[in-house]
Amino acid sequence: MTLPAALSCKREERSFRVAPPFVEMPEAIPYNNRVRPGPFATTTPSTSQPVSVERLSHEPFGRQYLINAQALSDGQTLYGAFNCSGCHANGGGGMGPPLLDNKWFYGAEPEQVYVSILEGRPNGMPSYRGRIPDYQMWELVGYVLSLSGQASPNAAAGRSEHMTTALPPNSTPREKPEVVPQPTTGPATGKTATQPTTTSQPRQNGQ
Amino acid sequence: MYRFSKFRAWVGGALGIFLPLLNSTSLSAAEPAGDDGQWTMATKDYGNVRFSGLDQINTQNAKSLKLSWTFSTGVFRGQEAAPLVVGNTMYVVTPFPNYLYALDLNKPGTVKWKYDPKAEAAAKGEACCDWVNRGAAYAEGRIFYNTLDANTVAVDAASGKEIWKTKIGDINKGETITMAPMTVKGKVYVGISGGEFGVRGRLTCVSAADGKILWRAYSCGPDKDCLIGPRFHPFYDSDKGTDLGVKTWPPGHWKIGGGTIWGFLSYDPETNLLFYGMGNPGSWNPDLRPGDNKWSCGCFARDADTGEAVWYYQWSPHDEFDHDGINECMLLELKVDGPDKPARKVLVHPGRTGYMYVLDRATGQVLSADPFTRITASKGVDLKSGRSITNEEKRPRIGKVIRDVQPASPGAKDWQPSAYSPRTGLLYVPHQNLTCDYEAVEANYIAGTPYLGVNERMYAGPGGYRGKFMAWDPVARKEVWGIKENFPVWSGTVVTAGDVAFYGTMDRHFKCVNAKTGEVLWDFETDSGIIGQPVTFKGPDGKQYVAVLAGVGGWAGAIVAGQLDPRDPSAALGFVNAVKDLPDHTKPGDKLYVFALP
Ligand code: HEC
Repeated sequence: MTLPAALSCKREERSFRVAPPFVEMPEAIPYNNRVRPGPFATTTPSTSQPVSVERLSHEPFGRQYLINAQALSDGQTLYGAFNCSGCHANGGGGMGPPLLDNKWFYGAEPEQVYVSILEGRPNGMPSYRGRIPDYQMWELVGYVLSLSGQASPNAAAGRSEHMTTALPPNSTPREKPEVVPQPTTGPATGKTATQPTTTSQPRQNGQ
Repeated sequence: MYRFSKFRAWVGGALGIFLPLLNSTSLSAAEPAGDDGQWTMATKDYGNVRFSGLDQINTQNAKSLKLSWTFSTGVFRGQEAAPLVVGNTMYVVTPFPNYLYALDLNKPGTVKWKYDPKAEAAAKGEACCDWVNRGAAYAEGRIFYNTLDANTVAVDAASGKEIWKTKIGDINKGETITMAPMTVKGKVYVGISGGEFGVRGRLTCVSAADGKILWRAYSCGPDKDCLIGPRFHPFYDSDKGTDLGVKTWPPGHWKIGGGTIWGFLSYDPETNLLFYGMGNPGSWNPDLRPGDNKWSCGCFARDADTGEAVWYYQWSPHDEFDHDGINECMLLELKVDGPDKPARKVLVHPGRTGYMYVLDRATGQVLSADPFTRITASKGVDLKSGRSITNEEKRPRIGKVIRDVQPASPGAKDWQPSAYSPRTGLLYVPHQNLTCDYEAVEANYIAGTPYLGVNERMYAGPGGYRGKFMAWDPVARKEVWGIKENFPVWSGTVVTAGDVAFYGTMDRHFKCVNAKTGEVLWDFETDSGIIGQPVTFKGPDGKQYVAVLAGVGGWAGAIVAGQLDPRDPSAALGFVNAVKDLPDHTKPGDKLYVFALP
């Protein structure tokens, strides 16, 4: 009798919404983030817990989103609504790189993914700064990471609402993220990655 | 033979315009009429015919073709460009960062100079289908081309110095450029890409002298923006009326209405008309934009000086499947009215929709539209009204998955240009055999992000092959022969007076075929798959050469060029599902190959 009671008790402690972190505001402040003005503390309408910079630096804040089913499910909807899917497909990539594999140009820590979305990245990832309320940005972080199995399988989204494409995040194998350099194609600096080479040696017909 | 002499007369007319402007270094009197052995624009000629008068390489000796030299550009992305040959120099444009190389043909493969337009890196994320560039155009000592970050540049052909650079579009709105410009009489014509971003399509006319923008002709919006005025006389009633570019849309939707221009342009010197097709309307999901969505997915004939519209025809009103109307408009003279009647000046368009359209070039009337692949997406073209007949069963609706829509979004044929031989009277058409499952979903317009509203996964059509190289008789209106290929044939083609045609495959074969029979005469294995435009030219040594860039990519090869993940069938807008096995057949490539007889 005591064991189940203890378990259910633990389950009751689980939070259904996660608290948003501090975010630095851009020049043009989106109305729904500007609820309580003040230095280094802000909030969003869905929660009323202000978050300080101190807290963000001491607490692995973004991890909360990886175990929260509501956040991950919302993240999935937002991923379509903010057109992430247009560039990254359902994780397999297209105009943007794949998000369901283990290769990351800018890192797979929640904070790094957050920065990718907030600030954009030089090779064509748009900055969503000022376009997405901050807590939704974190929900997107959670969903993006769930695509490569980084989220808790118990919380990750199951069947998608749409035509079956990639495996649903709750069944995606967990990848071991590693940071890789951009493929060499004449990188952002505009320098050639590979020096052009020529051969005037006739080569045997390849067939 | 009547066809050939007609053709000569016509090509002669076209050449008359630009011959005096060329460097006269390698022009030889011994060439067959109408061919100087150069390749001065991506399309070879104004009519998009891609017929070369060179005949050293023929059906007898093609089997002994040998690699002559190669050149690596250092850019391992989809190579869709046609190399240009002007005098003793070859010019090669790479995918982003869009370098322009000048190679010395006297010392094969030696770089004379390299020009870097310093294109903005962010453009890479705004380009729907890899970072491709389809080539340059030459006139009066200058090379003109477009950069992925939506600029047009003029570069001095001798020194490689930039003469001017003009901003045509804004990458923050998803505007990029991949097309090859065309230049006529001191003007450079430039389109815009971004049909997947709700970009408002337009043709921009730039002064070749100083890069000033002379006029813009939009593909949607009020008549004055579309340069539609008193000279506009479309053939069909559904294209008549005022401001149809506004009225055939939900309120204001034309502002993000697409109709981008990213294929090849053609020009008829006799009538001074430009012809080109427009891409898909803004938002792939058709439910979000009830109406015909003019002037998307159609073809304009415009005055080359003023840009005024003269006629218009819509291949697919209210496009349902991203069937861009940008495929080449080939300007031919054909005996379509019968063997005893004079040849008609026609415009032939192998459509993404799967129909081979033959239009009267003067009026825009559709003379015939015959399916050249299996089609389930529509039920034919009604020649009386000119309208494509909708297949109600396959109509996309929000939340419904429609299965087996053929042609899939890349169409029965995409950008990859065809060729026509006046000697055989046949069109040579590289294309694909793809069908798809298609689900319309909600779409939000956010500037600089895709505006789609569709989930798609493609797969091979019946037969299992994914591509085909076909010879089509446009007078008899039927296929004459076809070579099935495992992957989509995403390369262009060229046909010559030696009665051979060249094309490449995504699984790394460069082939020479007998233009009459389709027999494969020669087959060379390259390092990477081929999606480029083969060209043929006469070298300084008087020999005929054939050149092609090999480097897989583009929409079809995005899985390799962008290292996409095949576990997601919707990757690359659903194309990945159809070519999951491509990485087993090819790696990315950056190399130019040049061949000749020993
Ligand atoms: C216009 C196309 C486009 C859109 C829309 C887009 N992305 Fe990206 N994204 C890219 C490109 C291109 C890159 C690669 C940037 C680079 O390499 O510098 C990228 C990179 C990323 C990265 C970093 C990947 C890594 O390897 O480190 C993440 C995470 C990401 N995007 C998430 C998102 C999310 C979430 C959204 C929607 C809110 C989104 N993207 C919308 C194109 C896009």
